[in-house]
Amino acid sequence: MNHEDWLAQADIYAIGALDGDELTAFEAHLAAGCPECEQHIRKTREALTLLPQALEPITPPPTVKARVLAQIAAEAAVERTVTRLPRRRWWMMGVSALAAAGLLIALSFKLYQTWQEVQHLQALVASLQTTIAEREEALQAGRHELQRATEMVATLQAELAKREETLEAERRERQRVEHAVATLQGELSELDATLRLLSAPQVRLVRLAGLPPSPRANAHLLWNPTARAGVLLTSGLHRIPPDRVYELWAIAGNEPVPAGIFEVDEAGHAYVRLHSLPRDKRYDKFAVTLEPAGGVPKPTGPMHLLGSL
Amino acid sequence: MAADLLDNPFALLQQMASGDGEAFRRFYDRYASLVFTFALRLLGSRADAEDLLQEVFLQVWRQAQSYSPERGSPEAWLITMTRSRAIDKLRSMRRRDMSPLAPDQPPRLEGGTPVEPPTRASEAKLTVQGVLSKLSEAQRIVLELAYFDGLTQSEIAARLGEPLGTVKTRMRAGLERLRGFLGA
Repeated sequence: MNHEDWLAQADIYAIGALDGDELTAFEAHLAAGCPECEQHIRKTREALTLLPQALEPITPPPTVKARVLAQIAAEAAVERTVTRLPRRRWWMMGVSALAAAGLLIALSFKLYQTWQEVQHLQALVASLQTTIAEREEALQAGRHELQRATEMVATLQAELAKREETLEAERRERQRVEHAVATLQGELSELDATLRLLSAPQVRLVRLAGLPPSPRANAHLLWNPTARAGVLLTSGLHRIPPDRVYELWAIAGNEPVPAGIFEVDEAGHAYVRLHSLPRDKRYDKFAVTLEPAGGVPKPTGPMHLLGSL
Repeated sequence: MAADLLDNPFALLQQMASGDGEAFRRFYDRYASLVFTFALRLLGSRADAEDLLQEVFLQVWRQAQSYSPERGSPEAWLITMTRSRAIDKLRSMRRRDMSPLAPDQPPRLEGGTPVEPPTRASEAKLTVQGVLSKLSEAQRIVLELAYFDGLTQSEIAARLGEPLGTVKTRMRAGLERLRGFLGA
């Protein structure tokens, strides 16, 4: 057989179809060593992979993947365990050597081995006890740590409560300040309005003189007849009990119109704003009477001040 | 580039050899369909094909460290492994007289030729025309009988009622064309 013929057989062998005596003969040829045929078989097998790759692919069910993965995970676990098991090779060698030396020696070796096992176990027990003691110590340390942490949490909670309290006080203070600022702004804008009212050219100055109940009192009224508004400044009026109040009147002809109530300070001073009085009346006199607290729509009490335009 | 590196079958086999389960998963995802399709075509039963798929990939995992690139591509390794296990199964089934092959039924060929597919493996079809158009129908029949059905040259000759020499010639010519397709 020339080598071309062997290569022809290599084709049939590569696809696995060689049989009978031809297979036996070709296997003998390969066993004798033929790199050329081996190379040819390899190439042919590579080419044959085209056949399965030419099949229309079908997706396997995912359960197979799960099974395979579970199995290799299990094998990996077993392998790890096996690797960790102590080697027994020396023991095997020992036995075969001793078998030749005789049963007695074998038995004493066995005894020795058992004793060694016992020693080994005792060492193991001791090491386990040490481990347990270490664990207990660690556990104890862990408990202390836990207690410390608990205490720290309590401290932090108290601290937090305190902070919250401070924060609340600060919030209230801020509200108060904001409120005060708002009040001041209100007052300021009122003063502004008053100033504008009194800077008008038609503003008149009305003097009010003290009457018999307050002979030493007097007052000045800055009166804007267009706006029917003004400012009254008093001095020398008596301090009055809390159930009483001074009431200012603007008088049109014989009709008194209430123009505001006020109290006075130690020196009998007061600053009273008259806001816009009703239209269609010609106010020509102004008077102050003493009235019950809250004021009244028509004068009832004694007159303390009086003046006219 | 990174994906190529990740999916390089040589690299995956190396990683598997050092016990890398993730590499195995990638290798499985890449080749499970190929092995399953092939197994289904070889064995003709879904249940058997699933079992074979599992066995082959377990063998891949256990023998990843023994794979060597000089002995062929990872695909060839995988396919050879699949086929030899399947053929073992088929032969043992035949021995037990449980052959899934009716003895006078040639393998099914692409494209509704007179030799219609046996019911087994009807899901697996040869589709790559580029490969198959290189082969004559007679070549295809002998290659499929040998490669997919595990018949030997004598069995094929008996099945087709052709002389052994004709079967050999067709088989070699078909293989020659397949090698030519690979540029080998």
